[in-house]
Amino acid sequence: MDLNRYLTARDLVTNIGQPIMLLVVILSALLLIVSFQKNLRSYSRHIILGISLFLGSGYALLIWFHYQIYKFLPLIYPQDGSLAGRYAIPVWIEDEKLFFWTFLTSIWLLFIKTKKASYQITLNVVIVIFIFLTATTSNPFFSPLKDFHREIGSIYQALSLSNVSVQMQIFGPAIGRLQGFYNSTYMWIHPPLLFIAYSTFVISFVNVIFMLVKKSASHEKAAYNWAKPGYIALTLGLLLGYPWAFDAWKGQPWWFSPKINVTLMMWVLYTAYLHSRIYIHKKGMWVTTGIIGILGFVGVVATYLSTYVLPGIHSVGG
Amino acid sequence: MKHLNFILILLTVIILSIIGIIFIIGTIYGSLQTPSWENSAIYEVYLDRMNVAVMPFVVSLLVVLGICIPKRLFTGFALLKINGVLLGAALIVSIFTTAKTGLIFLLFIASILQLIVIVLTIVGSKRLKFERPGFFLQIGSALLHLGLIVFLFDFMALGDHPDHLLFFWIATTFIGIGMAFSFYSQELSKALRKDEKKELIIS
Repeated sequence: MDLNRYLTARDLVTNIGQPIMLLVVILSALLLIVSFQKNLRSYSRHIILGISLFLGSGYALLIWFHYQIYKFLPLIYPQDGSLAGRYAIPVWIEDEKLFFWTFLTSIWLLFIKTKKASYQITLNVVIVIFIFLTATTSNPFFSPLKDFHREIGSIYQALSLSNVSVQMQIFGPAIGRLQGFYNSTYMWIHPPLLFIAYSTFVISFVNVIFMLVKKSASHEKAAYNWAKPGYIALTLGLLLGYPWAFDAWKGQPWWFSPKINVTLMMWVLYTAYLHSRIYIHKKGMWVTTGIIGILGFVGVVATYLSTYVLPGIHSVGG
Repeated sequence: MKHLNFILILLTVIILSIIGIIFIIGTIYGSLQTPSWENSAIYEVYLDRMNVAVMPFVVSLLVVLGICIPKRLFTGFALLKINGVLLGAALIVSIFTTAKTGLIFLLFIASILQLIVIVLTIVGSKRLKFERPGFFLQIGSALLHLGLIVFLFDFMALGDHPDHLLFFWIATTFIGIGMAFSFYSQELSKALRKDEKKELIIS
C-alpha cells in the first residue's frame, strides 16, 4: 500500500476539482441570468456546453483518482504479504452519483434545440437546480470518496498493529467489500444504466409538464422520445441487478425491501405511462398519461432519495 | 375488438398504478422503521402483508397478460372461447394443486402462444392482429412480452433450479431486443430501406 501517493492524489483531486466545481456553479449562475434576458437567451446552449465540458473534466479527474487507487492501494494480506486484490471502484459511488447524474443531464441538454422561451428557461433552471444540489449536498471533490477513505484509514491503522488477529478483524470484511461491492461487475453495469435512465427521465418530465400545461403534441412526443431510452436503460438496469441481488442476498428476504419497492414503483409507473400513451387521443387519456408521467418522475426522485433515507439492504447509511 | 384492446390497456394501466401505490405505502411504512428492522419480527409481518396486498394485483396482471397474448391470434367469439378455456384450465390446475402452479401453467401456455405469434410475425402471416403496422414494431412487441412471460415464469417456477439464471438471461435478451425493436421500429425500418436502396444502386 502506497498510502502517501494515494493521499497526494486525493489532495490533488480536491485542489483541482473544487475550482472546477466553482466554475460550474459560476456558469450555472450565468445561465440563470441569461435565461431571463430575452436578448441573451440564445447563449444558453454555449453556457450549457461550457458546463458540460467542466463537468466532463471533473469527471475525468475522478476517473484518474480511481485509477490511482487501483494502482497504489493494493490490498495485501498481512500474514504473508500476498495480493488480496486491487480496488477497481466504479466512478458512480458515494458523492459521485449525483455528479454523474448532473453530468449526463447536461449532455442530453446539448441535443435539445428550441426557440420556445419558456421551455428553454425551464430546462436551464432544471440544470441549475441539479448543479446547486450537487455543489451543496453531493460535491465529490470536497472530500473525495469519504466512506472509502475512512475504510482505508482503518485498514492502515490495523496494519500498523502487531496483533494479526486484530488485523484480520478489519481485513476480512475489507476483502469482502472489495470483492462483493467495489469490484463487483454489476456495480459497473447496474448503477450507470439507472443514472442514464434518471437523466433522460428528467427531460421527459419537463416535457410531460409542458404537454399538460400547453396541451402541446410536440412536447408529448418529446416526453415519449426521452422516456424511451430511459425505459430501456431502467429495465435493463433493474434486470441486470437481479442476478446480483439473487447471488448477494440468497436466502434473505430482500424482495420487498423499501428500496426495491420504490424502484419497482418507478418501473411499474413508467410501464403504465408507455401503455397509457398508446391510446392518448381517447377521452381523458391525455391527462391520465401526463399524471402517470409525473408520478413516474416522483418515483425517480424517491428512488434516489431512498438510498439515503430508507433503512434497508440498499441503504448508504445502514 | 378495438374496444377490447383499449379495455385491456386501461386494465393494465390501472393494475400497474395500484401496484405502484401499494409500493409507495410499503416504502413509507419502511421509512418509519429503525435501520435494523430487517432482522426483526416486524419485517416478517411486513413481508407477509406486502405479499397479501400485492398478490391479487400481480395475479390480475398475469391474467390480463394471459388474455392479451391470444388476441393476436384470434378475434371475436373465438378469442372469448380461447380466453375462457385458458382461464378455466388455469383455475382447475389451481384448485387441484396451488394457485402458484395455476399461474405457472397460464404463463407456460402464454409463452407457447407467444412463440407461435413470433414465428407467424417472422413469416409475415396475415392472420395476426396488431394495433399498429410495422414488422419491427410487431416483432419487438412480441419479443418484449415473451421476455416478460419467460422472466415471470423463471421467477415463479425456477427459483432454485440450476437453469434459473439461464432462463433469466434468455428473458433479458428478449426484453432488451424487444424494447429496442418496438421503440425504434421506424428508425430501423428506415435504416433497412436505405441499405436496400444502396444495394440496388450498387447492383
